Formats: sequence, C-alpha cells, structure tokens
Amino acid sequence: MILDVLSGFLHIQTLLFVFAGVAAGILGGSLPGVSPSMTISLLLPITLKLNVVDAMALLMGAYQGAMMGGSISAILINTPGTASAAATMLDGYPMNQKGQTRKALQTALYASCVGGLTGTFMLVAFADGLASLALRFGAPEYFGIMCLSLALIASISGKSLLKGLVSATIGLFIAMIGLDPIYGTARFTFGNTQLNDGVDQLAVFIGSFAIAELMFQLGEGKDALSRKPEQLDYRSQGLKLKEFLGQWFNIIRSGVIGALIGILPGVGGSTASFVAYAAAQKQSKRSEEFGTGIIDGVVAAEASNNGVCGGALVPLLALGIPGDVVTAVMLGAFVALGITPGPLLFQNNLDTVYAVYIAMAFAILALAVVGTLGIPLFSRIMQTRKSILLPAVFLICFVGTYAVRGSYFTCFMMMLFGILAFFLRKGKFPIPPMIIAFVIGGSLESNFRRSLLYDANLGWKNFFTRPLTLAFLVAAVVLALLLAHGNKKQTKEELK
Amino acid sequence: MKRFCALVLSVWMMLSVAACGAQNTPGSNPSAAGSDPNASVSSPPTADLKYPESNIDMLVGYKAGGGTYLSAQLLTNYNNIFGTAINLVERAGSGGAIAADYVANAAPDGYTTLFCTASLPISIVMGDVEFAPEDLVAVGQCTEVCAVIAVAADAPYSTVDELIAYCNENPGEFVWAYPGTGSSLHIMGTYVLDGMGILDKTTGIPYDSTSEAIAAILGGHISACSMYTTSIGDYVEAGKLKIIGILSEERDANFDYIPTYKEQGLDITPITVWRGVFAPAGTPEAILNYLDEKLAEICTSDDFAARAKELGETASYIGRAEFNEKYKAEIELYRPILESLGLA
Repeated sequence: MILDVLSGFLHIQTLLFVFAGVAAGILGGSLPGVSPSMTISLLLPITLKLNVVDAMALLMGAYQGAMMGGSISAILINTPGTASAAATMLDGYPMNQKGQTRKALQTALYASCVGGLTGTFMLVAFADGLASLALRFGAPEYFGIMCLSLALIASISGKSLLKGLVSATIGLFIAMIGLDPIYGTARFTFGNTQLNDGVDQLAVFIGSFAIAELMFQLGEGKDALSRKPEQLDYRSQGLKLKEFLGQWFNIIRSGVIGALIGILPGVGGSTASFVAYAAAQKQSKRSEEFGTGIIDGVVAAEASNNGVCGGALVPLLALGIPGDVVTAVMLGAFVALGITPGPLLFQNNLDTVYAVYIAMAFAILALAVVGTLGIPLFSRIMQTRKSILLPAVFLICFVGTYAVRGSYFTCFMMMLFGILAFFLRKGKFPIPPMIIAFVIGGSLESNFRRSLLYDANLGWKNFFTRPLTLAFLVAAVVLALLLAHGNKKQTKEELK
Repeated sequence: MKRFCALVLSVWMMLSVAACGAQNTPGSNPSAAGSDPNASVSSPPTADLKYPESNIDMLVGYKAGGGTYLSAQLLTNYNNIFGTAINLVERAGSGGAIAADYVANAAPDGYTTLFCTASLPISIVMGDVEFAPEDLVAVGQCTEVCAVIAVAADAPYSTVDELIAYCNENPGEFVWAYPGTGSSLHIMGTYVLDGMGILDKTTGIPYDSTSEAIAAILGGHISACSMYTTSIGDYVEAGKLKIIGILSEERDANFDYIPTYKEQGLDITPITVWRGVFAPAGTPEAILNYLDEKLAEICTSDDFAARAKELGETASYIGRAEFNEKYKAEIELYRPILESLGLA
C-alpha cells in the first residue's frame, strides 16, 4: 500500500503542490504577524478541492515551510516571523550583524531540513510508542518538565545569575497578566478586556527584540545610519560543509527535543526551540560564545522547531488530539476531507497516514530546494542602507503586530515592551530569560494549579508520588544548583 | 542593485500589509480576498447591496481543534455560497466570553461575526461579558449538539446509578474536566452532577480545550470530561471512552447507543445546545438578511447534514428572527439554573 501512495506522489501536479505549499509557508512564516496556523487556515479552502494526497502535499509543505520561514525575518531584521523562531534571533541576528547573513540563513535552512527529517523519522518509526508516552503526561508531569525548562534558563542568563533571575521573574509576571486559568478572574488587566487572554506573544517578542534593537541603533548617531553594513567577501560568507557536519550531534539532539516536546499537546514550537537552545549551550565546549553569533545556536533553534512538526502530528494521527496550534487547524482540514484523525485512523485510513509521512519527506526536500534558491535573494536585503532599512523594519514591526489581532492595542503593547527591554538591556539585564519565562509561565501555572486539584487527599504531595514528575523536579533542582555553582566559580575567576 | 533591494523590501512590506488585510481588516483590501480561489465564484446577488466585498471574519471563542472550532470549520466549506471566504479567528478564553466581547464591540459592518454556542447566554447571565444582551443579534442557528459525560472505557462505572454509588463511596475521587470556567460545558457538567446529587463529592478542573482533557482521560490522570458529542464517536468505537449518559429529551440519532439521563431515572430538564452565528447590533438589515439566507441554504443542504453528522452534530437551521427570540429566552432559562448552582 505504501508504494501505491508513493506513486501517487510522483505526479507532476502533486509535486507542484508540495513546492507551492513550501513557498506559501516560507512567505507566511517570514511575515511577522502571519503565524503558521494563519498560513494553513488560508490554504484550507484550496485543500477542499483536492484529493487527499495533493491536500497533504500542500499542508505539510506549508507546515515545514512556515517553521523555517520564521527564521528569515529573525535573522535579517531581529523580528521573529513566527513565535517559534524567537530563539533563532539569539544567534542568528548577531551573525547577520557580523556580515555572515548568508551563512546564518543557510545554517537555518539546512538545520531546519535535517531537524524536520529527524522529527519525521520519529513520527514514522515510533508513532505508537510516542503517543502512549504523551498520554503519560498529566498536569504534574507538565509542571515538572516546565520546571526543568526554567532551570535551563539559568544557563542562558549570561554573566550575572542574579540579573538573569530578575529578568526571568519579570517574564513570569508578564505571563500572569490576563484571566486566572482556574477561576477565570481577571488579573493585572486594569479592567481592559483586551488583556483578558494575556499579553500577545508576538507583541512581546517583536517589542523586546526588534524595537529595543532599533532604539539602540538609533542611539548610535547619524554616521552609523548612513553607513552600509559590513560585508565579508562572498566566499567567506557562506556555510562550509565541514562546519555544518560538525554540528551533526547538535542537529539530531535538537530535532529529537523538538519532536518530543511536539508530542505534548499544548506545548508549542517556541518552548521547544528555547529548550533545545539551552541544551545545546549547556553541552557545548564554547558555551560562553552563545548569543554572540555562532552557528550552534541557530542550528539548535531551527532544527528543533522543524522537529516539532513530526512530533505534533503524532498525537493528531494516533489519538485525534492536536499537538500544537497548526495541527489543531489541520484537524479541520482532515475532517473536511472526510478523514477523522483519531484512534481508528491507523485501522481505517492507513493510506492517509502514509500520505502524511511521504508528504513530510517530500516537503523537506522541497524546502531545501526552495530555500537554497531563495537565500541569495533574501540576503540582499541586508545591502540596503540602514537609513532605509531601519524605518522599513519599524513599519514591518507595526504591520506585523497589528495583523495578529487587527487591533492597535497589540502595537501599543509592542512599543511598551520595546521600551522595557531597552532599559533592561541598558542595565545589562539579559532579555532571553524574560522571554523564556514568559513563554513557559502560562502552562507552568495552569498545570501547577491543575495538579493541586487532581487528588484532594494528596494535594501538593501529588508532585512527590508520581515517579516521572519527581524525576523532572529533581533534575531541575540539580541542574539549577550545578549552574549556580558554575556561575559562582566563573565570577570568582574573573575577579581574580 | 540598490534599487533591486528597495524593491524586494517594498514587495515584502506590501505582502505583509495584504496578508494583514486578508486576516483582520476586512473591507480595506479587496485584492487580498481575491487571492482566495473560491472568493470569486459567485457574485453578490443584489446590485444595490455591495456585500460581501472581502473576507468575513468569524470569531470562535474556543481553541482550534475543539468542538466549537471544528463545527465552525464546517461553514468554511461553503465559501462559494457565501460569495466570499469565511475567515475563522480563534480568540479562546473565559468560556467564549473574550470572543463575544470582541464582536459585540466591533464595527457593525457585517465583516466581523461570531460563531458560538449556548455559552453566550450563559456568559451573559454569569456577568463574564461587558456588553448587554442586545449588543449582539442572532443571524442563524446551524447545528445542535448534546452534552455528555465521557469516562475511560475501563472505569468502574458505566451508568448514572453506578456513578452515584461510586462517588458516594469515594468522595473526591471523581475528577472531571471542562474547557474553561464559565463555558457551556462547565455548566452542563455541573447541572448534571448536581442533578445526580453528587456535585460536592466530585472535583472539577478547567482545561484549555476538550482535546487536552481527552488526552488526560486516556492517560488515566482524570476520570471524566464534560463534552459534546462532537468527534466522540471514534473514541467510543475504538474502546477508549464510554459515555455515562446524554443530556437530551430522546436518544441522539447519531449515537443511539447512548442512553439519556432521563431514561436512567434522572429528574432533570434536558437542555439541547445550539451552535450559530451572531453579529454586532446595528449591522444593516440587508446584510443580516443576506447572511441568514446563505446560512439557510447551507445548513439545510444534504451535504452540510452529512458533514455535521460525520462530526457528531445534527444540522438544525433556525432563521434570524426565531433564533434571536430563542437566544433571549435562553438568558432567562439559564438564570435560575445558574443561580441554583451558585454560579450567577
């Protein structure tokens, strides 16, 4: 049967749909404010007119494309095109500033492809096992894994652990704005209903990275603005095969992290990429160079967010429960095509499952082709004079945040966070811990409180009676202590 | 070279403006709507009514992948009938109240609509919304669904009596989920458990969506979920979930194996829940009539009925005027129920 489905893909029309999906995905992904789920929503009406194979080709192409596309604007203009590309900015934008634009884009592309393949492999090989693994995660386990992720933050706090913690606390506070997850009462909204569902992620990302950066650049004075960015000569700009192959372990690890986080419903690509980034930094020999523009950081972030694609499809196909927002929208597309993902899919519609697998593989190939052709085009944007580029970026930031909800309020929030981040950076407080804490904060809290309700007799003891939760919590504490210790030693050495 | 770069930049910017128009600022950008292949299939029927000129935003107050969203996605199959693309906007939270608030305060130009369930009158009674009932007007009812309580297939109870006995023996052990405080399913679950007389012996936990709650049941973390029949069939057929009972007058035609609470001897008034489309008050009559006409055409078609049935819902169209009366009447219907449950 798999051969029948495969032969269905070898039609010129189907291949065209894969390429069209990838191109649409990259485009939508690279535009701040057009999220991957919006891109997919816009493509849904088209899929209704197609057969299952073509529809899958288009959707999976767009999914992979959008996950990669977000990195383009993250690298070029320090504005994440999608929420899951936020971690890509940490090293991607500094690389760009060093004149390595093309190299950064190539790294992002090929890491995305290999990461995507890793995720797809995990989907194909272990769908059943991973689905039952996902089911073992109840609220206490979610809380445990979120704590572990928070502990990882310490590793990207930079020089001062204290300043990192202050920054993370601010992030947790921002995550608390909005309706209480259990009782539904409004918190810190000052009666403004626009804040009821919390501060928008993209407004925080764009504000604290792009807007703050623009303010810094403006502060450099008139001369800096009329200068052209430094350009290395064409050859040294590119990514060398040897360098990329040297990252093989980082790519596979990040892809696997992405896929594993992807299988957990309700935890998205942005968490995955930050966790992969922090894990890469933790294990790297040159961890102090992270954030200054090295390919390791870009590789980790991009490999993991494309790894999420394969992971998020696991619960969708095996259980009918979408793993992230994009697969949630896709669920509707499946239903419209007359296929109900769920426990019966593998019995009744095995050919659809194969179509998804093959579409994922083809989408990654198409992504490599389209990306390779597109990179020279995209990297030329950086040759524009700053006095033209910066106002244009400023405008894109506004359009992007406006598009999220069609309301000026989000733009206002973006500016507010831009100013906040500007002063935090002036005071040498690192921004990434704030962002990660903000991303994780929401589900950290709701799962903590759900856990307390799980068993009235156990209450908080619930966290210590579940082996998996306990393991995560112990790992988090150990990791935090190790990092604090290392940080202390490092500071002492520097003082000497 | 400089010129080329400026060109690339400006094209990128134009695209993001266009995409933004297609997403959220209807009326401003007809060219963005034109990018949708279905948009141009049928032209507006009357010459004097210049509607629809671009995509129609339809807000959904629950997460993508959940029952309400899936039901709303049914309508997006009929862009050719609407004469434009229906653009679903997910604005989840507060049991659907956030989306309702947004639409009630939106410009009444027919380009911002709300797809919602009976959670709307419930949110109004509970005081979760910041608008008066008259600020939204009904356009048309699309489907009807019934609330059920689903439990794991290997749970030690399968009927109302067994559940009551279990909860009396093991107070606090029965943990049930619902998609958000103040959602219609929160009320339905509370209503049924209260009718069984075991509400205070159970624990309710809000989840972000029904699908996340199902995952928690399948993993054995919680006991049950208050949910609609939407997309439940496969789980029952696969032997993953079983249903304690259904809140309706008679057995649901799609799920004739689920006994009603009534036939299990539970003395509570059955409540059937609707899903339908609303618009901000002040939307021109002509536009409301246009939308109602199109909804009638869609929701009475065999194709829609088949798709709704596939999803686990029943196609059940009610026109503007009647639906508006029903909406207002339900506010009064739910008030005493919510008050007796201590939620209003």
